[in-house]
Formats: sequence, C-alpha cells, structure tokens
Amino acid sequence: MKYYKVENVKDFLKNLMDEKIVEALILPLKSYTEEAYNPFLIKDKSLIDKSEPFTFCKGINTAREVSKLTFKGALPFKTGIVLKPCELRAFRELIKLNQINPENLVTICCDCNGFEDREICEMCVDFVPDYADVKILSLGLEGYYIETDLELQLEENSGNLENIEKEILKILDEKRKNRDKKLSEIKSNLKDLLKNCISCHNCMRVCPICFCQECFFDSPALKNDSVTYLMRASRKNGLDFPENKLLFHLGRMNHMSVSCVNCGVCEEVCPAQIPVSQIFVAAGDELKKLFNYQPGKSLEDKIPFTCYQHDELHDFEKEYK
Amino acid sequence: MTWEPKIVYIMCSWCGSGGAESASAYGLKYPENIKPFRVWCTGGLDPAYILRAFLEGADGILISGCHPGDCHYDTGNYFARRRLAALKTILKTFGFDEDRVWLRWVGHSEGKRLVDTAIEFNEHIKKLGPNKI
Amino acid sequence: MTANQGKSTVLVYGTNMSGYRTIYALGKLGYKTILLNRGKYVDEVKNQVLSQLPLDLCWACAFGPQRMFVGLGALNVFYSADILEIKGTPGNYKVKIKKKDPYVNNFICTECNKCVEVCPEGAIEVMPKVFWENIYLINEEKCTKCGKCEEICPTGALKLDKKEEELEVEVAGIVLSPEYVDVDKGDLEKFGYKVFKNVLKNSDIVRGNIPTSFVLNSLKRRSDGKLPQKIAIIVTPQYNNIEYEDFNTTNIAVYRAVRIKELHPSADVTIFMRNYRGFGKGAYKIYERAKEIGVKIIKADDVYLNELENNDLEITYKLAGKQNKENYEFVILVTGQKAPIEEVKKFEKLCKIKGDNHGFCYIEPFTNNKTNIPGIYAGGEFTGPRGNPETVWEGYDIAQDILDFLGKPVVSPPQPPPFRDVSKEEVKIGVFLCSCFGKFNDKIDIERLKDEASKIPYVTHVEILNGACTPQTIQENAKKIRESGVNRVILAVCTPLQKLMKFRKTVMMGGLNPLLAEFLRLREDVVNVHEDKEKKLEKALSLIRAAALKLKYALPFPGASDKFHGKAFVIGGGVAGMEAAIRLAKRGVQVTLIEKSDSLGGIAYRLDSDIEGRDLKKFIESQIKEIKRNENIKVYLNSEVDSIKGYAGNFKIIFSENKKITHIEDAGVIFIATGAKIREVSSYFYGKNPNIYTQLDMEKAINEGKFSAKSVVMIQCVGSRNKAYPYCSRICCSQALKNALRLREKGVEVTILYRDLKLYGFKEDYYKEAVNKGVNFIRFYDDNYPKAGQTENGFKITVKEYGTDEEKAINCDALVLSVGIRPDIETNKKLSQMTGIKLFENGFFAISPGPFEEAAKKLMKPFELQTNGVFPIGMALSPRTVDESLLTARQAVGQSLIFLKKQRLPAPNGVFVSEVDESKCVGCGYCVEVCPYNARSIDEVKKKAVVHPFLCDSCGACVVACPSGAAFIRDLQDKQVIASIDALLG
Repeated sequence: MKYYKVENVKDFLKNLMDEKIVEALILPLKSYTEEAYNPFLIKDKSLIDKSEPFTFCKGINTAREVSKLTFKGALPFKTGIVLKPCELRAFRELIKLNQINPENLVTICCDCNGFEDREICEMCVDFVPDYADVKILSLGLEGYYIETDLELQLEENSGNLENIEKEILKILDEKRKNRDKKLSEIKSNLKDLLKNCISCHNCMRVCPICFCQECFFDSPALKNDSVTYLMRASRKNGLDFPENKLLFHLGRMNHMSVSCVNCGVCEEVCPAQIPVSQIFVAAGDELKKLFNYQPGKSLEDKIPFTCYQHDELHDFEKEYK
Repeated sequence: MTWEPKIVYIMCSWCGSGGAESASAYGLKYPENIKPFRVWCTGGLDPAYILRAFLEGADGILISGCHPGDCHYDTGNYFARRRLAALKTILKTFGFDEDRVWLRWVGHSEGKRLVDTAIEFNEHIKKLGPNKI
Repeated sequence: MTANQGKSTVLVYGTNMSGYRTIYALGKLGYKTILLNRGKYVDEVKNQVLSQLPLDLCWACAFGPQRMFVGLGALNVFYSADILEIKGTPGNYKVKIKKKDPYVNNFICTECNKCVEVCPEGAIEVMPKVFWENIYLINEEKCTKCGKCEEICPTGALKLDKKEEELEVEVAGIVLSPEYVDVDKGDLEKFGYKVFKNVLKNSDIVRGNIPTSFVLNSLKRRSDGKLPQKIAIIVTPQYNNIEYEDFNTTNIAVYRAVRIKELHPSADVTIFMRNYRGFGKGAYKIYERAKEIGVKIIKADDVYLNELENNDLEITYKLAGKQNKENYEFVILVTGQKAPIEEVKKFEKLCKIKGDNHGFCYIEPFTNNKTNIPGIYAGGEFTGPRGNPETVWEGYDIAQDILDFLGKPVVSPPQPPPFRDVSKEEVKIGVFLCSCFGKFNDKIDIERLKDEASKIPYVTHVEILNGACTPQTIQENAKKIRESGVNRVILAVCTPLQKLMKFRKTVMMGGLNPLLAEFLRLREDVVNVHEDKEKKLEKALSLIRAAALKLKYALPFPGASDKFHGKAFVIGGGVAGMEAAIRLAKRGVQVTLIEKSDSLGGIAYRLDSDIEGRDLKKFIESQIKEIKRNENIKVYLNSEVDSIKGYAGNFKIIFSENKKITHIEDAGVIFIATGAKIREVSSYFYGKNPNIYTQLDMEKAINEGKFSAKSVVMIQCVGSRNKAYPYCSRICCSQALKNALRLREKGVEVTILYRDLKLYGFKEDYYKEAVNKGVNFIRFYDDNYPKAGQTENGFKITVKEYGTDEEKAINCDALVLSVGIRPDIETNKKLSQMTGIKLFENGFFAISPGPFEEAAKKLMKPFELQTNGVFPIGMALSPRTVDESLLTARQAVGQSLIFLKKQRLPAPNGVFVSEVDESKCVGCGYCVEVCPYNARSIDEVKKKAVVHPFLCDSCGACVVACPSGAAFIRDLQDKQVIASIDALLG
C-alpha cells in the first residue's frame, strides 16, 4: 500500500489518464439540462474540469449503470469509476451476482461524510472506501491523500494520516447515534410508513441490487382472474387497491435486503416520500446480523442464500417435545 | 358458526408427505381446517408464497420437510431454514406475528409427530385469533 | 469371459445393503435379478442398517430399489425363500430354490382391512411400520382356510392357495448378501440386557416409538417411566468377545450421546469404550463436539453391570488395572454383530465357498467381494463387520465385476405411449375419485363429493372409480380417461408416494402428458385422518379446487435429454486411480490416466506389505503391468491438469505433459485419485537425530539392514487429531502394530504410546498377538502427549498414563513416530476450483454433506452424477487402507458404467425438470450456487443459466433462488402455486 498527497482531485484524475492507468472515466458530470449531475463515461480528459467527482447523482447508483456497461462483456480498456462508498459496495455486490465484469475496471472511491437532505447519509456508518483500487481520503485532513497499490508517478507521502482515525471515530459516533434514533422511530410505525405507497415500483427500478429483467412482484404470476379477486375480497374483509403493496415491499425485502447497500436512491425517487431505504436498513440490519453478512465487502463472503451451515438457526425450527 | 383458523400445511414430497402417510397408516387424526400443499422440497418453497398467503389472510402456515441431514435432495432443507429465518425476521421487524409461520421437521415415519404438530399449531393459532392483516 | 453369453440374470441371496445395491446397479445396467428374501415380508430379516439404526434417519429408501425394479420387470422377489442346491459352472449356474409366495400380494393390497374383519379366527395379522405401508400376514396356525377372506378381498390380492414350492432358476452369477446376525439376550448376558430393566440397545430406543423416532420419551426408564439424568452408553463389542464392531460402532455411540445432549441438555452422559475408532475426515469432528458439550468418555479396559434395588445400574469398570464404581439411571448398549457362522457353513456345503477364521465369508486378497469360487460374490456384513457407506459401495463393486459372467443387457425402461396434443383445446378437467374398492364409501359421502366437484370451474367430468392400483383397474381407468375426452386429470387416490408410478402410468396410457395430471391424496389427507364426514367433504372439495386451478395453468412438454460422452479421465496413478482405469478399460471404456510424478504406484508402492502380511508390491506391480498393456488406457506421466471445462457427460480437459506438450481430451466422467502425502513432521527432534524415525523411515532402514536399536518407543497420532489435522489417518495403527510384531521377532523391546487403537474388526487380533508377544502399550491423554528427552545413548520418554495419571519413564534407543497422511491440498484445491466439487477444510474432497447421505438415499435418482460426474476416490476422498481405496475406485466405476455406455441421457424424472425462461434470466448465478446436483451453469456468452437435464432432480432450489422468476419447474410454476394456495384459503 502506498500513499500520495494531492491538492486537487480533478488534477489527480487527469494524471491517472495521462499515466494511462485508465483510458476512460465514469464520473458525475452536469447533465445536458444543466440542472443535475449524472454519471458520464468520458474518454476526453478535458471534461474532467466540468465534473463534480464527489457529488451524488440524484436517483442513480452508478454501480447499476456500470452493470449495464459490462453486461455483454468486459470493457476493452482500463476504465476508472468514481464511486461513493455505498456505490462501491453495490459495485462489489454486483460482481458477486455476476452483473458486473470487474475486468479492466479501476474503482476510485472517496470517503464520504454524506450529502445534504439525504437522511440515509445521516445514519450511514460505512463511509470509508474499503476495497477500492484507489482510495481518496480527506476526512480530518488538509487536502487529499491517495491510498493505492497502483504504481503512480507521484511522490509518496504518508505524512499526516493519524488524524484520519480520530475524525472517523468522531463521525462514526455521531452517525451511530443518528442511526439508532432514526431506527427506533422507523421501527415504531413500520407498517404505517408503507400506507402511502402508490405501487409505482420506482424504488425497485433504481435499486442497484434489483437487477431482474422483470420483478417477480410485477409478474403475471400475481395477476388473478376475476373470480379470485372476489374470493380474496371476501376473505380479507375488502381488498384495498393498489393491491399487493405490502407483498411488494416485504417480498422485495425478502429477496434482496441481505444485499442492500443502503445507498438510499430508492427513497430519493419515491413520489410518496416513503423512507424506503431506512425501512430496508431496519429489516436488513437484522438479517445481516442473523447471517453475519456484510454486503459489498469481501468477494469471498457468500451471499447468505447461496450457502448454509449444518448447525445454525435452530431458533427458527419449532421444537417438538 | 365458530371461527376456524385457515391453515395451510406446506410439506415436502418426501419426509413431510411421508409423515402424512404414516399418520394415515396409523389412523391418527388432526383438524380438518389444516390443508396440505406439497412442494418437491422445502428448499424449493419460495418464501414469497408464504408471504403472500400470510398477507392474503391465512391464519397460519406450517412447513415440514426432512430433518436436516436427511433431505432427499441433500441440502434443500438447509436453504429452506435460511430462507424462512429471513422471512420470519422480516415479519417480526414489521411487527407482524411471525409465530403464525412454523417450521418443524417431520421424518418419513413420524406420523405422530406430524399429527401432534398439526394439533399443536391449530391450538396455537386459535389462541392468537384471526390474522387481521 | 466364460461361455454362455445369453444369461443376463443374477441371483441375489439375502437383503443386506450390498445386495440391494447390486440389484439397483444391475437393473440400471439392464440386467435382471432374482432376490431371495428369507423373510415373509420385506424387512422381516433385518440388515445392518435396520438392526443398528446408526443415525436417526428414516432409512425407508433402503427398500426403494425393490419396488422400482419389480415394477420395471427387472427384479423378481421370492419370499420365505432359500437356496437348496447350486450346480453348474460360473456364468451358467443352475440353482434350486424353495420359496413361498405371500398370501397377500403387497403390490395390489389396498389395506382395506376387510379380510381382518371377516376372519372368524382372528388369523390375519397386520405388520405396521414396514416402510410406510401395512403388511397383511396370515397366521397359519390359526387359519382354517375357510376362504372368507379370499372371497371378500376386493382386489384379488389375497390368495389362500400359496404353498411352499421348489423351482430351478438359471443364472449367470450369484451374490450372497445375507443379513446382519444381531446380538440378543444370551449374547449380551454380561450387560444384563433383557434382565435389568433399564438396559436397552441403541436400536430399541431409536425406533422403539416409531411414529416419532428419537424423542425424550424414548429415553424414559422402562422401570418407572422417569426421565433419567445419568445415562451410560456402552460400546459392547469392545468388551464382549462374540461381537464384532464395524468402523462406525463407536461413532454410533458418540452420535447417540450428542443427540441425547441435544434433547436433554441437563443429562449427564458417559460413554464407555476401550478405543474410539472413528477415522476419516468427518467422524472425528463429532467426537470433538461430544467432548465440547460435556459428554464424558471413559476408555475403560472392562465393564461389569449390576442392577440395584431402585433399578439403577452400578457399573464397575477397570481403568489401567484399577477398579472404579459409578451408578447410572439408564444404560444404552451400542452393539455389534456376530459372525454369520451358520450361513457360511451352509454355503460351504452348497457351493464350496470358504469361510475365514472368524466365521465370516472368505474374500480373495485385494478384492472386496470375490469369494474363492468364480461367479459367486459376497458382500456386506456377510464378509466381515461392515457399516455404511462401504456396504452400499460393495454393491456397485459386485455389479461391475459380475459383468464378467453376464451376457447382453435385456431390460430397458418402457417407452410411454404418444401423448395427445391438447394445446388448442379449452381446459377440460376430469375428476376421478377412487373409492378404494368401496373402502371409502362409509368414510366419506363420495356420491355427494362427485356432485359438488362437478360444479367446480373447469371440471367437465366427474367419475367414481372402483380402484386405481390393480393391473385391471389401471387399464380400465386409462380407458375412462380417454373416453371422457378431458385434457386434464385429477386422480383422487390414496398415496402417490407409494404408487406414483401406477398413477402416472394410468394417465399416460390415457394419452395425456403426466404434467396434465394431479394426484390428490384422498386417503392420506382426508379420509383416514379426520372424523367429521361433513368437514371431510368440504376439505376434499377445497383440495380439488386447488388442484383444478393448478391444472388450469399446466404446461405439457415432452421432456429433455442431453448427450453423454463415453470416455473417462483419471487423475492420479496410485492404487485407486490405476484400479479405476483397469476396471473401466475392461468394460471397453477409453481411459486417459495422467500422473503427476514420473512413475505409477503412488504412496502405497512405498510400503512393502500390510499387517495381514500380503505382498502389496506384487499387487501394485501387476496393476502397473496391466495399465501399460491395456490398449484402452492411455497413460501420461509427469502430467498435470491445466483446465477442466464442461459438466457431467461433457467434459473438456486440457493437460500438459512435462510442462511442455499440451493435450486436450473429452470425457464423460472424471476420477480424481490424487492420493495423499506422508505428513511433514516438525516435533520430537525429527530430522535432528538419526535415531528418530517415521514408521516408513524405519521400514526402509530395517529392509536395508540399517536398523539396530534394541529398544523402541512408538508414539501414535503425532500431529494428528488436533486442530490442524482434525482427523485420524486410518493407517498408522496397523502400520505400527505390523512393525512392532516384526521387531519383537528380533527380540527388540517395543512400547507403543497411543490415544486410541483403531483396530476394529479382525485387526483386533493383531493387538492381542502383540500383547501376547510382549509389546508394551500405554495410553496417554488426548491433550497430554509424551515428552522426549535425548540421553547419552538414546532417549528418555516420559508419559502420563491415562487412567492412573502416573508419570512413567521409558528409555529407548530409537523413537518411532506415527505421523499419518495429509491430502495433496494444493492439487486438490486446484481441481476443486476447476470441477466445483467442494473440499473439506482439511483438503479432502467432500462428496456429500454427511457421511450417510450417499449410502442410504435417492436410490432411484441419478445421484451417481450428483458430484457432476466427478468421482473423488482413494485417499483424495479420505484416509483409507489399500483395500478401502480399491473399493472406492471400484464402486465409482460401478456408478459410472451406468452412464458411460449411453449416448444420450434423459432427465431422471422425465417431464419434471427445471427450466430457464431466457427472457427473464440475467445470469446472476444464484441458481448455480444452490443446485445440489451441479445441474445448472451459466452460459457466459449469452449470460443465461443453462440446465443439464439429466443432472436435474427437479427439487426447485433454483426456483427459489432465482429472484427473477426465470427458473421454473413445470408442475410448480409460480402462478400454479399461488392460485392453488388461494384456493386452499377459500
């Protein structure tokens, strides 16, 4: 591991291109409407000046877009992807799920103190860029430090790093408190939070982990014939529409919340302002604890539903006396 | 008319169903409101079905498959246990009564165990009352 | 090859698991078998598994092949049968047998119980608990042959005219697989069995209460019904000369202790055994777990039992010469088997086979199942103390070897008739209600059920059937289906588990694809298990509604198959690898064998003889000669695998020779025989003092005349059975004993320091011999190894003796370490990655999640291919002796031959096979991870999952794993399940 100090991240990214460590970059650029940032794939390094490497593109998790890019095969040349830690986790989870071909991709990830107006960021306790090829560290530091295994034509400098840990612990402490507070609020009325759902399924469509071509909960399997609707209505004391709201959320949660990286794009796009991501944190945390699994970390850790242990989870087996 | 719980008993086609057949062979009785549904393996039971049944007003869902280590397909019940653990955890987090879903292994010859389970579960659900979803 | 190629039948005598498996393998290879069951019904005479009940599994599948192959016409079973005379020559035996057909034909009996009710003498008895069906027997002493039962039997299953008859059968080969000779009261006198109330056999408590298996109730004291707190488990064969233990007996004791602690955590459980003998990769873990959860293990030299007034048991046990006493509330005996002396004598007379000096059947050296008479094989507990899975493996060994005497295969699975195309028709469901020959009539209002069912949507036809399982009713019902014009069928019957094939056949003969039928369990789910007739009717209707909705969405399809390449590829040229190659080549299979080193022979070639004194070198040399001579075998030395692509039946292997020349081979199956290495030693000054040897070093030194020590100490389990190597290497105890006996002959003083001596079965003889010849044995504690100090002219070894805790010091000239083996971890890891076959943490190949799965289950399914057509054999699989390694190779050959000769293989369940909806699949690989059969892979170009149909057993794991709904099985599609459950909820 080597450390370098840089003053300006954009210059550093240009430098990566100059040194041919990457030939292309994916990073947030002002979109054509000039109103928002979107991830762009660029080959021309002059475009870096117009970018905002550390901003969050509203409603978009870059990893999801990268998965489309490599779906038909690896990129033919080295491409750097600038990611936030939550996007990096999604990126790594998607490698496990065979949705991203990591060949020729160089991950560049910053530490991240969150973004304004994103409640999920306030409760984020995983904001350090573990597992990135190029880590950009700034919390608690003047300027930026680069931590990487790559050979760069820069002067090594690991001067002032001890502040990082202190700063991180400070932020962590604060975020933990936020998280606990938020979660206890959320958990107290979880069911009610979903009441306003209009079943647009936007949350699923932007989710990096929901990579299915067709969501099971959108599929014809759940469409009934008219007789069944009437039967259901009488069984349930009235059938409320849009139907299957709870089924969609709980079912989706059951499918993928173990892999949920808490990036928060789902709640950003929710027209009904449901804190979807926070709800996923509430349930996902329990599951992650249950299976001792951290999504988007080590590629060796298997996704809980693809493995098992012989001797486990006996609390879920009903004892017979 | 007194209320009778709507209970679906999902069983695998091997030990679970074997238990049902042993029960019949021994002439053991259980309540009629418990309706069996068969999958090949509990490992082939999508929790989405259970979830949907639960949200569609099933008062209880009972699941039985081969004992761990005895799965007809070797490993299905281990995966089933994980899937159900996840589902039950989610239900619990949402404040639903996850104890309306039971997983209990029943061996091929264990007709009595199957019947005891059905009776015990029925009593348990009666105590809980109807599933007001 | 012997003359008379026309004979394609084998006679199997006895129902031990090796016999059953021979029947199974031969049936699959297309040969006929005749099974002689000495009992009146299927498991009257119990085999090893059913006598011992080693694990709390169901074991019902043990009888599976019998049902299936009888159904296919490959197997003929005779009951109350015996052999009277054997004449003829190998390949052409004429055997005179006697048999008596059962009065009640179990295949037709519907258990209506009418015969029992009508019998004036109470002579008809029902044997429950056999498989999951009841068996009806007639007590001949009580029966007056009045004929009332025969008259009333609705199916013609009961016939009173059965007599003992004699007949002669012509067969090409004979397999002797008689059952376990269990121990009973007289044999277990020493332990007070059936005298002291609270002394029970393990098998008594496991299935004492069959409807529930092993539960707390099973443990209640027979004297007062109280739940005992203090429980002793005694491994009796270690204290009782007439019993023999197999490799698994001590494991059974440990397993039982663990199960008791699981059910009854506060119980105090103590196991008495002289030596723990579980070896191999997995067993030792259970032993460790038992100790962890507080099971006490006392390695006593002897035990005596006494019953106290309150029916507690006082156990007096000897420990290193000292007597101790302890009281227990309950005692469980884990017992062994007796030698089958009578049976052996009988066959000595009948066909001149030999017995061995213990009273078991003699087996030729370096074979597992050949008797001294060609064409006559013996297997299972008849040949020595045996457990699973080896007994089952022997069945495959016999099947592949007996082919020498067999002609052409004659049995092939019947082809279904052509199915009607129903794709353009509207859904028309026919409901056929079986009345079980009138048996259901008074239990449910079947006429009303018929009326109500006809009102269910999509149901166009309802009919009550007389029966559905006798040959005649099957014919009639098929005709009814055809004539009714329906295109979906609900057959409401008793139990498809038992009679599935019959019902499927009915539907297929009715011209419909089996995917268009649902078999409702009217008897099992409604008629027999409830009281209230009205509620039964309601429940039956809701089950029919659910089935109707399921059928509405049914999607017929003809089934899938795939090609299977007929060549084999063997990795490793040790005894196991060579044996596999030779056996395959003998059956005309083209084999490629590669070996990493520059010579064949492997680790066993370095040993000169084994404890039995057989010439190992000579045997291995004969193997090498055969390998070189055989035209079907291509050998590449100094070669290593570079890559393996593909799946069972369709492998492409790239390997390089001398790191230079690259070869490509196709193969249908791969054998991994990477063997083992002598484990490296770093303790006890090894390598720093020339008088410290491993057992192998010493053998070499003795052979070269360089060994002159006058006193020797051997330390067992050096670096074994610890955290780093949590298994027993299986071979060191025999090797140490062999060398100790050799040294004693030269007058050398020998002391063996050990934890457990793993000399089960006949090897125990050598222990006794060693004690007689003055070898000194001292046991030490598992966690307190002897210490060695170097002295002027040798070593001073100090050891704390087990039991007495005395510190003993021994001086010796030479120190010999038994270091055991380890797998070739680096190579195994590489091969594991290439083939997807998992490794245990310790580097051996894992072929199933538990030690028994492979033995007892899935008899009908292609589980031979469960490891993706990759067969780890020999020491790649686990530590083994040479004979055991050979057995793993031979049995794997037996398994693979079933497929190697076929060019295409269909899905094992026909139309019931998992599929991929490509429009939905995104190639995430979730399904690949969970498939227990390696039946799925990802096509990396298309990024879609692919199903290999003949590997799929349609369990549905992929369907659940698939988040997209792209994986599906046709009889449980999402919309079918959802609609059905909706209907059940009403």
